[in-house]
Amino acid sequence: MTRYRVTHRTSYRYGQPVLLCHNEARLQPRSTCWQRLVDYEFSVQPTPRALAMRHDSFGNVVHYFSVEELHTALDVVSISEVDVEWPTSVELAAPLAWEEAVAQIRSGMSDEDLEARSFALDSPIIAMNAAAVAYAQDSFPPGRDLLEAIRDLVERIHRDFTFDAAITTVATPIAEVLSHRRGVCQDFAHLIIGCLRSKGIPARYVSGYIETQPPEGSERLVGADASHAWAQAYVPGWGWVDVDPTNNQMPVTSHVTVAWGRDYNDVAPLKGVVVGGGPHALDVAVDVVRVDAESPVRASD
Amino acid sequence: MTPMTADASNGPTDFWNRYRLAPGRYDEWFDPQGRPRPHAAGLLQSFAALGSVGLDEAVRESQRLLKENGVTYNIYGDPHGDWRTWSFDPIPLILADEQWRAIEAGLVERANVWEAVLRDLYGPRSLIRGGVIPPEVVDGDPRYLRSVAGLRPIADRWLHLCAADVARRPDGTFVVLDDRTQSPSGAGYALENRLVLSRVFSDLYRTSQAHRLASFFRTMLASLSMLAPEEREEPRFVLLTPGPGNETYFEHAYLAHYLGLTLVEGSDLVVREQKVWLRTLDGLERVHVILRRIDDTYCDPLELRPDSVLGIPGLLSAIREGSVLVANPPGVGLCESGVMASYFPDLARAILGRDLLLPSARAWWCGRPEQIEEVLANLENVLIRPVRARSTSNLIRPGEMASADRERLAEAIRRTPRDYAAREMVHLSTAPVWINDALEPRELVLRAFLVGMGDSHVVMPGALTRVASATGKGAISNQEGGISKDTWITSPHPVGFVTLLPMGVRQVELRRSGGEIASRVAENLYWLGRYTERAEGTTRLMRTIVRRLLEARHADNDVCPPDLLRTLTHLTTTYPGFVGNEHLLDHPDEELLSLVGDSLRPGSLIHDLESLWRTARSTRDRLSDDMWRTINCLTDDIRGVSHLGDLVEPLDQLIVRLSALAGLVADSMTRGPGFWFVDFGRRIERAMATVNLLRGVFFCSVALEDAMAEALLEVADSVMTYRRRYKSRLHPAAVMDLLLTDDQNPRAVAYQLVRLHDLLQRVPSRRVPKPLEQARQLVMTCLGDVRMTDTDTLQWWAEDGSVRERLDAVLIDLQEYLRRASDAMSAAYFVQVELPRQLVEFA
Repeated sequence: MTRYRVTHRTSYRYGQPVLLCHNEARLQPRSTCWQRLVDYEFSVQPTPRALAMRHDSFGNVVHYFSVEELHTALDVVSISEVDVEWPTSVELAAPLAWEEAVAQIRSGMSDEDLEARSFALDSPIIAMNAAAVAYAQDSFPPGRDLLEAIRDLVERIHRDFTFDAAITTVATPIAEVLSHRRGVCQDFAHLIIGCLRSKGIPARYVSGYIETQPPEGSERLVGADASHAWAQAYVPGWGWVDVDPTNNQMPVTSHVTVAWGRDYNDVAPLKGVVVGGGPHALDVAVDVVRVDAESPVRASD
Repeated sequence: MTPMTADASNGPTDFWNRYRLAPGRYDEWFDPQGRPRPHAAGLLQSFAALGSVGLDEAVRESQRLLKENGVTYNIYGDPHGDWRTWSFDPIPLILADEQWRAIEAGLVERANVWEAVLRDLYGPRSLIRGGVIPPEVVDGDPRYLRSVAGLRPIADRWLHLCAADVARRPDGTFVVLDDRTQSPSGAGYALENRLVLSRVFSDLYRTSQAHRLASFFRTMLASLSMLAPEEREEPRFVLLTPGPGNETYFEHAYLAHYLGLTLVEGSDLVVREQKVWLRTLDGLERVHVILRRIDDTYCDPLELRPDSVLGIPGLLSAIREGSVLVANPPGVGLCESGVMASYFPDLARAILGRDLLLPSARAWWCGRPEQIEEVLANLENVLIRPVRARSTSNLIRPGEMASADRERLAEAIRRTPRDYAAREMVHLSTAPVWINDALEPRELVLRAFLVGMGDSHVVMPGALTRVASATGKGAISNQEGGISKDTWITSPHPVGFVTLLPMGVRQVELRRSGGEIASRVAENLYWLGRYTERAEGTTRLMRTIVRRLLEARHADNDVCPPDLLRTLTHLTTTYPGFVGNEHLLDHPDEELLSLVGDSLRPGSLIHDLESLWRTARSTRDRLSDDMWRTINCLTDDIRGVSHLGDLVEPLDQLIVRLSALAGLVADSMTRGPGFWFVDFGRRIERAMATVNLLRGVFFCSVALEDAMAEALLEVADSVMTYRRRYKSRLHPAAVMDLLLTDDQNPRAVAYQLVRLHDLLQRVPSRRVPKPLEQARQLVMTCLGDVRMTDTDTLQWWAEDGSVRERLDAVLIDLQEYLRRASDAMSAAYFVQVELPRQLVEFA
């Protein structure tokens, strides 16, 4: 079990005063079966006139807030402490052919199945795409064990694609990612989700953080981390399996889960509508550090 | 088949003999043997008695009323017919009370079922767990809004207002074709149709025992008031429209006017503190109830479509907070989904434990493996509705396609079956329509309207009947130029009288002020005043010029000084015109006609009139019906005139119409903020125009000055006054006095300044905005200048003889001060609302 403290600061600086802004933040880590939120603090400067918390339809925590005085800077700070203990491996009691798994899911009527089924559908950013279908094909020969097939897909994406922060924004269509063979974590998450869905396997997008280790011999830099994105695949008899094609991990090892949804649009950490403001500059600083845990983790959700 | 057999005895025979029933259809007036249906018999006689002449007269009269009232339906993609007058057939559809009661019960049940479906699917989703509808279907439906899931609207009610299209099958049974829930339009048109018909056939209507419609609207307001957040005596209602570009904008304005609600666009509203506010001259005023006429996904750019500029950022958070009642809340578009339609009978059975009283037309969704084959096998007999299409009314009709096209459609359906739904093609019933001097059986669909009350719904005792645009054409859509009818539900007993006078939510309390006024509306009213005056000024100058030119041609002498033409170019700022093209002065006809009738040319008369009409339209709910009627007819006479000689009479007519409008403004508008802005606009425009005219006239060559001065007096409608005072001799100083410094002449600059000064003493807001102080100062300065001016010195020429020095200086100062006063007033009240935009963190 590891305890992390994550600090996520977002600062907007505006060229002209903003009269009014409405925002939604999805920054508070969820409690899941692998993770427990121990402490959380959410703050906004200038002080919001309205602040309301709710759960969205995926169960993520949403902070709605509005700043209603003239301002030229907006700072949102999210500080969380979470206990995380990922499973060391994902195994099923007996092999399960992926076609069989898909058939089970499609007719599944348990609450978990019913919730998962819709994640096999297209979503606003991830639409069915011939290139993704073709790419997925190689990992799914007839009769192959589902977990094996997913593992193979994770490895292939890790091997075939280059991480390149310069190339994309979050909204890159997967067709483009496939043709350039490069992208960032969001792109690889979208890609693997598209591949899984093309075979009928429910998959969802996870936003969160990852603990980064500094290069050998150098100091850890505060604020040098970034938010991270990966995916979950639905496996009957197990549930949602976290897979990280960017880091070739299944299951993942040092990740902090914030929110999940169909794709990036459902879980954007911060979005807003402003009136006024002119051009703006954005600065995001994320810091993930280990802290000493005081109490053992209890699975809860 | 002949409706009346030869042995039928009296008058109706001849008339109705001309009506030929459509084979295989149920006719609302005649049975298949051609005998009148009992409930129609009385009316049948009445219409026969009217005969062709009476019906033609009724058609003309109703079209006139509709046009005058500005009843339009905006046709998309038709640049010429931007606004089309509502087509109306004067023969009402009549339904017997007992038949209607069955429909009514069915519609109420249907609305209650939808209500339960919405409550469940946006809430606990037990219909999914119970296996009634698969989760993929709900979550995959573009009309199911994930952001809305979990939201609990006030009183747990989703459908406050809804509508359904009802049709009758050949066997006489009724069936529901479609539901309308996002912005259920048509009730206003139904009301207007009723108003027109009750005027055209007033006797007939009085004795008809048709149920009155007004009670429905009272119920609507009462029921929404009851649910309005925060126990208050006066909840503020607004009707939220996408704006004048929307196809049913007329209806929005009409209903707002009739119901006494404020008509607003998204940018008039703002969410603060999770409450909704209206931007008014006095600042923000709380809004409690929104009647929404924008689509679901446009309601809130924060949580729904980020590119929406029609909605209000933060609206969903206010709805969640329960601080505003939105009728209906976003998310109800689910009821309009072709996908849901295919599951509706199952959903209803699960909820009611039995089948619906009033069935739906058969519906399929190609995403259901068991249904796609049925659709493809039967393609020419169904209507296809693309699942992702924004509008639910544009159906694809494979039956009318060439077979190659139909094959392509089938391929498209096989490729992405989830994107297609289908509906059975119902053979609609017919009713007689009076067209081109003939009675034709036309297919029809009824749109019925419901309002939520208590834990159920109430149906409007009447409907909007829409009729196919051509015989045998199944498509009924106002987009395709359909015709509508009033719908009478005839009671066996006399019905009570209910007034159709516009009603207010706040009926009991007498109010002296018209209440708050949105900044956008104030700005439009200001421009209404300016355009009215500008159009009048141009018309007057134009008339003077045309008269002189025509006279000159008869008398073969030059009585139209070229400077008058140049003044016209200056006044209308249509350069180069007569200022830049000397040759035009000798052949002015074409340029003059263009300045009258070229609607694409800014500064032309028709352009001003159309701008006037547009600003009037976007403040429609603030104008009286008479004002609106007058405005609607302004361009009637001058459109399409192609000879100078034909212009005089239309220009005369236009001046009369514009004066009528000015008279209505002066006489019928209460002296509230609305009048203030119209009058301010009018005064500032007249002052500026008169200054311009004076500059034009007194800076021509001395030889022409008399002729110019005379023309100026004519343009300024001051000939009489001048003659009375000075007999006929033209003195420049006298003309200047009369038009510049005389504060008793309503055409003089001084008079406008006094009025402006007066207006600025009585500002339309509770507080005096800063820039207005400045405007007040500027007007004071102008007024002082004008009053202090010695008209004698005004005539003086500069030593080089090029210009009347003093006059020029005064006029230039006036121009500048007036412009600044107008700017200051704009700055005080017309805050430029910045459009909200998205801010997304690219992490």
